[in-house]
Amino acid sequence: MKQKQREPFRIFGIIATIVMVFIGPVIVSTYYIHLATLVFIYIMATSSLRIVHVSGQISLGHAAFMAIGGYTSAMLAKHLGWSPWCAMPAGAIAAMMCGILIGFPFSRLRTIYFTMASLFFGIMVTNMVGLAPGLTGSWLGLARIPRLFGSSKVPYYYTFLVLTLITLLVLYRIEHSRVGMTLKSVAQSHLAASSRGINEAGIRILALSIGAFFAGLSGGAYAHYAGFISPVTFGVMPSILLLVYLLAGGKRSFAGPIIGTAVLVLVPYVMGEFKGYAPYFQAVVILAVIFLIPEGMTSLFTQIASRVRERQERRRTSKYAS
Amino acid sequence: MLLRTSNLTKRFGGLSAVSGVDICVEEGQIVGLIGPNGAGKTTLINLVSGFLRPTTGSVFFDGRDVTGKKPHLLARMGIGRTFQITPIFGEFTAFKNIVASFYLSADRSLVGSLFNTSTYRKKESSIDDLAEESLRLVGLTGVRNELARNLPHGYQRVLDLAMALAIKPKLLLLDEPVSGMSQDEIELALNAIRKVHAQGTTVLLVEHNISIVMGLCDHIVVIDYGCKIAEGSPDEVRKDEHVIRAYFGGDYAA
Amino acid sequence: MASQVAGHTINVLMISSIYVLVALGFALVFSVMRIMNFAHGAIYMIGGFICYAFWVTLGLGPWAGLLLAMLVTGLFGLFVEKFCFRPFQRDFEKATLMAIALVIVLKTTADLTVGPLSRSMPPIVPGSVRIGTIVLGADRLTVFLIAAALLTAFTLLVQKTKMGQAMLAIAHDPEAASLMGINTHRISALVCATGCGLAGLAGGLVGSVLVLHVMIADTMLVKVIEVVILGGIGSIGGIWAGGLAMGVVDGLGPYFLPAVFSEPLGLALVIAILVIRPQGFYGHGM
Repeated sequence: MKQKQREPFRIFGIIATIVMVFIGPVIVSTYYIHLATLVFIYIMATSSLRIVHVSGQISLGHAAFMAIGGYTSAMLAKHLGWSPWCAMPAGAIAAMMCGILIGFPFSRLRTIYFTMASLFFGIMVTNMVGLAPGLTGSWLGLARIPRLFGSSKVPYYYTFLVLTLITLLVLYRIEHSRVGMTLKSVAQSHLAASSRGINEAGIRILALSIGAFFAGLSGGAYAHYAGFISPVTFGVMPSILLLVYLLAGGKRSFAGPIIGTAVLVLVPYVMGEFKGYAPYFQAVVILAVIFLIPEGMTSLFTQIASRVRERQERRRTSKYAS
Repeated sequence: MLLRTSNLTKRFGGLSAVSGVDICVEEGQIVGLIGPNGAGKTTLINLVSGFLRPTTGSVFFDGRDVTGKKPHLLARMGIGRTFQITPIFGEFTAFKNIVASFYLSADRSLVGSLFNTSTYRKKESSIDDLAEESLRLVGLTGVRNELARNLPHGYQRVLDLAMALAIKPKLLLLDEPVSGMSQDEIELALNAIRKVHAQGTTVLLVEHNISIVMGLCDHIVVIDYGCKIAEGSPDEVRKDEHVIRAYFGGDYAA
Repeated sequence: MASQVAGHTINVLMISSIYVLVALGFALVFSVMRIMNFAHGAIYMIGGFICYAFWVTLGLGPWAGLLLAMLVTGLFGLFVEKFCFRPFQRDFEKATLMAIALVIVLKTTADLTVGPLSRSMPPIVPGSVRIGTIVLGADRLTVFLIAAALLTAFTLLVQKTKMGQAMLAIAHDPEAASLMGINTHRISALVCATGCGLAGLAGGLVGSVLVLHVMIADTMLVKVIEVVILGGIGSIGGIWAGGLAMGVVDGLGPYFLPAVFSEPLGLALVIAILVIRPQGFYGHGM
């Protein structure tokens, strides 16, 4: 995105952060604090998917990294008595190492095949809980995971807000630096990239492992917040939904995953008793993105912003003309 | 001898695209590779730049055996190339395309990018200057901020050339650098190639247009049906009867 | 003893034939349209419930139920091909999103109408069959025979008829095929309709020997992907082989191994293939 186009997002982002930090928890009820905390976790996950996407790989198995991070962290805390504060980063590192490991065979695959392999990877990780039911709680799930704080939601809110901001900062920095430029190069033309000395497979593995790290972190955050995880929490549907959040929010902009996640995660909750119908609304949003706003929701904002600017320009020039 | 191939052969199934080709390129030369359509010229370039693996035979660059090495490794050793299909980074501006191509000169570490270290900043700043210089060299300063995918075809080819230069190649392989260009664009491209050669880069170019090759190159290699059928100076090749037969059919042999 | 062996054999054959029946549809839609139909598992599930509706709820009996299930899902396949997939054949991201929207709609509808309870249908042919000293359950045998018959018919159709040749041509090179005068749209529609119809039928068949539940959509999708990876997505023979392998693992595993091992066994097999021979048994390079 051009410099001028990023301005409205920056301003909006700063205002939103201030609101969330200072005003939010004071005036809203516990229910909304809980929602916001969940949104933070998923924003971390979707943004981590974005950096994989930016390198040209469309992954349908990203929640598997959340699973690896979440389960590793939960098991370390529950069975080995680690403090959740230490277990969470450990989970993230475990996820990152898995990312590097599967990056080697998978990052050489062309787009469609990589997507299928990633879907399979997600399925595989989900099914692996069956291997050590004593540790993982198998299909019933792992319960009574040690939590970060006591019963009040507010400390979680702030902790995850900070965690999300750090994640976004790191990912933003990477994306807009030489490494990010290299990722985007490989996505656009692997021929050009490799003939300029870029190790295509290596860069893709890097993207995957960074994405895996932050996904693992978000998985651990979820585990120590909710206290319970099961294979379904991070299974195939969540992986697919992460991609939907990303594409619906907008794949061309860094703010895409943030907006997409916020809107689509909150949808079931604002529907109250019609919660069962929420997926229909998600499907409608997907269809809207496909047919009306292919660049995602963020493109709506940029379109509005540029139209407003155009009108201002026109008003200014007409003033001078008359 | 900068580039040497020895008995280079590439078979696809039963078909030999390139057979037993031996070529030598000395440092500082501009060598032209010509031959009728389908003779195997692009295959040869692909073999030398690592995009294809030879069935048999070897490639030696700068004294080292580089047979079968991956393209990015050859790029790091100093082999640069352009493509017929001009792969460029469409979503980037012309300027950013070149900046991106200076990958090898940048601070590629994650730490540098993440923490904006002084080494990182210094290198990026010098890359920006080098990229500007590159644009000026090939004559594309006017379209600096255009998205690469919006550029006319000829400009894209020249941009491809500038990008290839970013790796500071010792050997530059050009695959039909002026095909499909208008007369003005051809002038632009040829000027750029001459300047690049004048600065000391060895050039091996594949081209259809014989008159361009005759005017530009000091040594020519002729390929037909995957085999080398002649080589020498432009005058020698012009008179070679094998070449004449290959291009014009049997009746025109002198 | 012989009955046991026979019983296991029929079980394995039945499971394999169901897997191949569903996986073929998925693989063909991918080969011909280059689209991964994630909704395929959901269509299988919906087919099962439609069969239940006609068979049990409306009391029309097994054959009407199966036939109508196949018809309804087949027609749905036509609809999906024309409105959901055809417009997005060139755009992989949009096609994927479309398939995802489809899954969401189908599964939610199932959740809301059928709910979390499971249903099942009585066996198509009750009782048992005696061959010499061997006693077999007639229900599984029937399912196997029906599935096998349809599979064979379909495979022969693809390999022997002009339409089948056209399918293979499009799978190989869509542009060349249309330049040769092949009506790619009609073939795509046919492939999608047949694939979905067979999946729907499979759902009905499974519902009569096992249970129907909304979750089988996910489990079948997973199986289909595993079969397709095992066999290689490009070849029908590969799908047969992959389906058989998976059927052996899933059919025999639970009997001979403790649950801890039998569940991930299929998974391990697929991983092994991915590592040793990524293109599957018969597939071409990726």
